[in-house]
Amino acid sequence: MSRPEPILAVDGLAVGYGVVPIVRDVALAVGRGEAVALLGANGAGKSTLLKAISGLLKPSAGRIRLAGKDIQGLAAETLVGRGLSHVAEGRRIFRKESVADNIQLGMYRLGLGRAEMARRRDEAFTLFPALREKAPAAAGTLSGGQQQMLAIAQALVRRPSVLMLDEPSLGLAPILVDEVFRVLGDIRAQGVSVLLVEQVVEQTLGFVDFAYVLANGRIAAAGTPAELGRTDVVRQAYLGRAPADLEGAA
Amino acid sequence: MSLEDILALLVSGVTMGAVYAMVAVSLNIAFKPTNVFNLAQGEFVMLGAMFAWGLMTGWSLPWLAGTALVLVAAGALGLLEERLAVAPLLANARHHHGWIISTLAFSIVVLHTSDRVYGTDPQAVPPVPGASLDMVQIGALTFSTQQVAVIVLAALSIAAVEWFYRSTLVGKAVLAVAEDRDGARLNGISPLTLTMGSFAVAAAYSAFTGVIAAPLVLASTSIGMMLLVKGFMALAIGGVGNNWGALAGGMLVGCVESLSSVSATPGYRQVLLLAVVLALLLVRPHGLAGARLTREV
Ligand SMILES: Nc1ncnc2c1ncn2[C@@H]1O[C@H](COP(=O)(O)OP(=O)(O)OP(=O)(O)O)[C@@H](O)[C@H]1O
Ligand SMILES: [Mg+2]
Repeated sequence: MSRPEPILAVDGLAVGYGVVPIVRDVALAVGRGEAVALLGANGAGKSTLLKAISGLLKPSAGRIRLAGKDIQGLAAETLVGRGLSHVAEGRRIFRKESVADNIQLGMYRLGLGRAEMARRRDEAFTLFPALREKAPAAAGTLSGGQQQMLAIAQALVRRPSVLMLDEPSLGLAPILVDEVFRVLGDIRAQGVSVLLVEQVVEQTLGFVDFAYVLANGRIAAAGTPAELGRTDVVRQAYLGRAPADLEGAA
Repeated sequence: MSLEDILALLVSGVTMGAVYAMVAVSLNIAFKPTNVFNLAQGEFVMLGAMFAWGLMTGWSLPWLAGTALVLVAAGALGLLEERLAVAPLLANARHHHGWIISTLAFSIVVLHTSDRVYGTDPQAVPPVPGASLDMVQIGALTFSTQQVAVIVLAALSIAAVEWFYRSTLVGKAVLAVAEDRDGARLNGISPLTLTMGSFAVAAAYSAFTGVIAAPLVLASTSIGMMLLVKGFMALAIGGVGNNWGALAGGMLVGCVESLSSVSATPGYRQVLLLAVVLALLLVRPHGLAGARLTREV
């Protein structure tokens, strides 16, 4: 099956926190309108990779292209204005600010007028009705599920072309995980390209068009959910086996 | 001692307290997006006073025009300080407390340059338009309208600062940077820009403090360090980041200092003041508002 032309393309990427790269030689692509998963065990380097793409970390090697333009080395705050949004791990909202202010801060970069900001905020409230009731409350007082929804809403009001989400279902009850996937379905239906890091493998593979498996900072396997399902590669990656064992499947 | 005398001391205490509060507020403004206390903040007050003397007395510029120039010049110097003494340290995660040395160094350079340029004699600066240094008496209360102007301007400016953080998107963005720097960047908020802006505004605010305080204390290059110390006292009593707390703290410091002049010799006045501040902080380690600000998760 052929994939759509890439809107986000990563090539030969190396990145880490000190001199030693955590992620090495990574190549991946997200096609226009595609939903793509990035799977891997704890500590595989998934979050590190997302941080490099979104500009929080500077890659030591490699190329990142967004809609055909090189973006490696650009600051995170700049990339937000270019249509790339990254919903970070751990429901990273501004806990002391109100829910409404959090959503407004999501639009900081866009220079929108008051009316347009209010309109987009209302759209977000329509997608997440629970947030509307809590609009004046401090975001830190929301439940875990509501906080995750707020983090997603904060990115969505920017109308990103590519949305990267880092474990949005982490720590949520199963019914809320279903809710997260329902929202992701809506987002994808709007034509947003999605790069999803997740640990709930079954549900994620049921949702995406394509998936990469990261093990020890390298891509250990890649394929459609059907292709990956025929092998043991995903399970092995989560058991933390060395990439060498997995190469045949890649 | 008569009631009139005590009231006069209180008025001058409250007035100086408003000045200390403004120094504390300027420390808060620069601290918010950076977690850095700008130790040059007292010298910016001094610069405001000296610039005002140069422009209004020397060049005979009208008060408003002179003040506008002072604010622009001080803002530019605040920006320069941020670029030279703060940004390089913040960019390097391993230099967590280097700002103590670098902002102090900047303040020393400012002080010595000013001594060269202006000399060390105290100079007179004109009062705020409409106010005067003449004493007015109402009942037992004696005060000058310049004193009233300082108190009112301190309160108004603190209200404006609070309004900015609570009601404008840029203000909220500064709070967002304070809470989560990387989280802010992922929302398109540039901590770099807001840090530069905050340092410039804090410096200009300090300089404004100098412009309105100078008619009362006289403009002299030696006032910076004393104001920085009193500003920190106000900050500690009011609670770091709490601007209205700073106003209360500043007035307390000002009044204790002023009333102690009755009995204590000048040398002991500072000791007495320090003892009061320390005693207060022993009882309330996080300042007057500390109880409400306990541990946020
Ligand atoms: N700020 C940091 N400084 C230094 N090393 C880090 C930092 N963050 C992560 N690491 C290291 O980088 C490696 C990859 O971490 P990363 O967070 O990218 O993994 P992950 O795949 O997202 O794991 P998880 O599923 O647990 O979120 C780990 O060995 C981790 O210890
Ligand atoms: Mg992670």
